[in-house]
Amino acid sequence: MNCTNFRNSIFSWSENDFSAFSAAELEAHSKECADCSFLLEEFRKTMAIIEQEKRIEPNPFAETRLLQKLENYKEAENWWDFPVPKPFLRPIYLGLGITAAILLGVVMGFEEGGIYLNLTSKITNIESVRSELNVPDIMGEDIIEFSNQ
Amino acid sequence: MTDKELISGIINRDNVAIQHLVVNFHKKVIKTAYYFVHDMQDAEDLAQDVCIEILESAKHFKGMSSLNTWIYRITVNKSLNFIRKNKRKQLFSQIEAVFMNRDGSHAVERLEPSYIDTKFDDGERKVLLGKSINTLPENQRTAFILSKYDELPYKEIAEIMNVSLASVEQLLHRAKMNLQKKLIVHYAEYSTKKQ
Ligand SMILES: [Zn+2]
Repeated sequence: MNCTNFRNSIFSWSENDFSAFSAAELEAHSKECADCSFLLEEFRKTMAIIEQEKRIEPNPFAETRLLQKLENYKEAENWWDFPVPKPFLRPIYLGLGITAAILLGVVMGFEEGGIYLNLTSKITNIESVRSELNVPDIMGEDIIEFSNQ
Repeated sequence: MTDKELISGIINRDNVAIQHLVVNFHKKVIKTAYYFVHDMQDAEDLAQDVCIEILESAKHFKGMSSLNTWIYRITVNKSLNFIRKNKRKQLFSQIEAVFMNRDGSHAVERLEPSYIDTKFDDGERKVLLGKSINTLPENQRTAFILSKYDELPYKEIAEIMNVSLASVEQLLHRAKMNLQKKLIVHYAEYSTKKQ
């Protein structure tokens, strides 16, 4: 038994696996080699840390926090959860959507067009423009004279 | 409540089923995540992510494995992803410098007799252990944590990792040999540093 053999067997020894070397051989080397003895002791103490870590308990409020988080998730899900139509209804939903978009476009077009038509009709009526902008009559005559030149 | 009932309850967002999920699995999920990330707050956040993932993916659960195995698989994947994404944040990588010699080289493997008087405390041992486990390849690390910390039977570890029983045995053997080697190197490095 040399130091390398011993160091390669530390884990097996800690698990009572003596397939490579017997317990007696390992014990004999650890008694005569201070280095390996130190390593063996440290290894055992380090492995005991695993047992300590296994006993660690989560924060007692972690469960409450999780339940709240799941509740929030469910609420957010409901908020975004639009009813998904069954496959055979999808063309109908699509058709309805397109019709709604066209109708909306037409209505908006009418409104915009109406404003434009109103404006142009008012502009053609010079009298109403003049009264709306408080343009004095004399100025209008100057413009007409100027345009006639 | 059977796995099937629980899953269908979760899909329907039934409060009783969700409560059952939390009561029966939450603590286990936190602890497993903690064994990977070594930080309780991160483990708690990960457990929340795992439970949200369960709610999101319940409809895809086919029952090919047990619910327990499926939840373990999600937990392991989330934990490994977290470690990959937060490598800089990891406690053990932050103290990497402690284990390096001044010239930046790693300490020699040979443990000099004069170093054997070095006394480690449990805090230092915890750091050494965490650092050593965290530097194992992912599949060895997973097999080791599920076996040594979660105390799961090889068969369940094989199902969680989606590998054969023989592979689990091999991964565990390699993990132990690597861990033993890494620990011995770290004892030497840290002893040198403490001198
Ligand atoms: Zn020796």
